[in-house]
Amino acid sequence: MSCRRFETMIALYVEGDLPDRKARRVAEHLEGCAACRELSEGLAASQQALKVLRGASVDERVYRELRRRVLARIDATQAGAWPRWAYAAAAGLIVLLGTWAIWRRPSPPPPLRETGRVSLPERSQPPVLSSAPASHAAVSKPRARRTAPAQVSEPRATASAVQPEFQPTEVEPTVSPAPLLVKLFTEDPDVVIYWIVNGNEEGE
Amino acid sequence: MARSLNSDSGELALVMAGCWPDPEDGAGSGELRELVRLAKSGDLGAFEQVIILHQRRVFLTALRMLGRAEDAQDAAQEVFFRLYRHLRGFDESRGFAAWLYRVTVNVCRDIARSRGKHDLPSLEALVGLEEAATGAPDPSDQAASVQQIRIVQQALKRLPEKERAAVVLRDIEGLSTREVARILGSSQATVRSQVSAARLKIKRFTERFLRGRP
Repeated sequence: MSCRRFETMIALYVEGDLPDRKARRVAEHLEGCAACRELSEGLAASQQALKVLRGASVDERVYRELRRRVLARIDATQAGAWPRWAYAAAAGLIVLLGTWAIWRRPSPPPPLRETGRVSLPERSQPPVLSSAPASHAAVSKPRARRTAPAQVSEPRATASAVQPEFQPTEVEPTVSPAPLLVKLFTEDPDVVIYWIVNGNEEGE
Repeated sequence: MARSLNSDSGELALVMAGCWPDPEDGAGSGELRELVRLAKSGDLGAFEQVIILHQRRVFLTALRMLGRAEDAQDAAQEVFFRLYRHLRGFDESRGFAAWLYRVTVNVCRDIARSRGKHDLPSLEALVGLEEAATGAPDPSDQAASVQQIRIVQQALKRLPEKERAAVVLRDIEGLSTREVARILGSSQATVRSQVSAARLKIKRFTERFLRGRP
C-alpha cells in the first residue's frame, strides 16, 4: 500500500479510531517510513490544538442572555395562543359562514326583454343595417320574408359586423335601463344572431 | 418556582443534579428527571434549569459550527425553543443530549446556508481560549498556543459542513464514532471517512498558515 493510502488510516490511527488489525498494520508501516512518521507527528500536534478548544469557557453573561431570549420567546408564544375552545368556536363559525354562503344564492338576473324577431334575407354578403341608432332601430316588428332568404356565413359574427339590410317600417324607441336582446333569425335554422343592447346604447 | 434564577442558583441546581460539568446522556439523575417532569407540566423555572444543564454543549457546538458568537446565540436559542415545544414527547428517564446535538447541527446548517460564509471568526469566538492556553509555562509559548488555537478555528471554518460537524462532535465534544453516526444519521464508516479527511485538512492548513502561506 502506498503512503498516500496510509494517510487516511494514519489520521484515524492517531486518535485510536482504527480496529486492532489495521492499527497494527499502520504501526508497522510507520516504523519503516519517515515521511509517514512526520505526518503522524503533525497530525498529533494539530489534534492537540483542536482539543484545547474543549477547555474554552464562555462568559456567564452570554448564557444568561441565551436563557432570557428563550424564555421571552416562550412567553410570547404562549401570550398569542388561544385556548382550545376558541379554536373550536372559530372553526364552527367558519363552517356556518360557508354553509350560509352556499345556500344563500344570488337572485337570478332579470330576463332580457325580447322586443321582436327579425328574419334576415338569404344572401352571400353580410346584410347591412340601416343607419338608425342601435338603441332605437335595431329592433322592429318583423317584416314579410323575402323570397331569397339570406345566408349568413359567419354565425359568430357580432352585431356590429352584421348589418342586415331591411327597411324597418316602425321604429320603437326603446329607452329602457334593462338590457335589450335582439334575435336575428336567418333562413338557416341553425344560425341565430343574438344582439344585446345595454343601457349605454352600445350594442354587442 | 421562580422563573429567573441567578448564576448561584444555577450552579446549585447543577450540583444537585450531580452532573457538572457534563450532564447525563442516558440514565439521568433523579434530580434531572424531576426537572424535566416539572418542565413538561409547564414550570418555566424548571425548564430554565434544564437549559443551564445543556447550554454549554449546545452553545459551544454551535460556535464551532458557525464561528460567530451572534450566530451561535441564535442557533442555541432556536435549539432550546424546539426542545421546549417537543418536551412533552420526551421520556424523562432517558437523556436527550443526542437529540440536542442533532438539532444543533441541523439548526447550524440552516443558519449557515441562510447567512452565507464569513471570512473570519469573530473575536468573541475566542473568549476564554487565552485562559485555556495558560498551561504554557512561558508567556511566549502561551502566545504561540493562542495563535495556534486561532489558526485551528480558521481551519474549522474552511471545512465542508459535514466534515466540520463530524470532527466537532468527535474531537471537540468527545463523542464516540457510534454516537456521532447516530446524531448525524450516517454510518460509522462515513463518519470515520469524514473525520479522517477533516483531520488531514486541519493539519495541512495549520502547517501552511504557520509557514506564512495561508
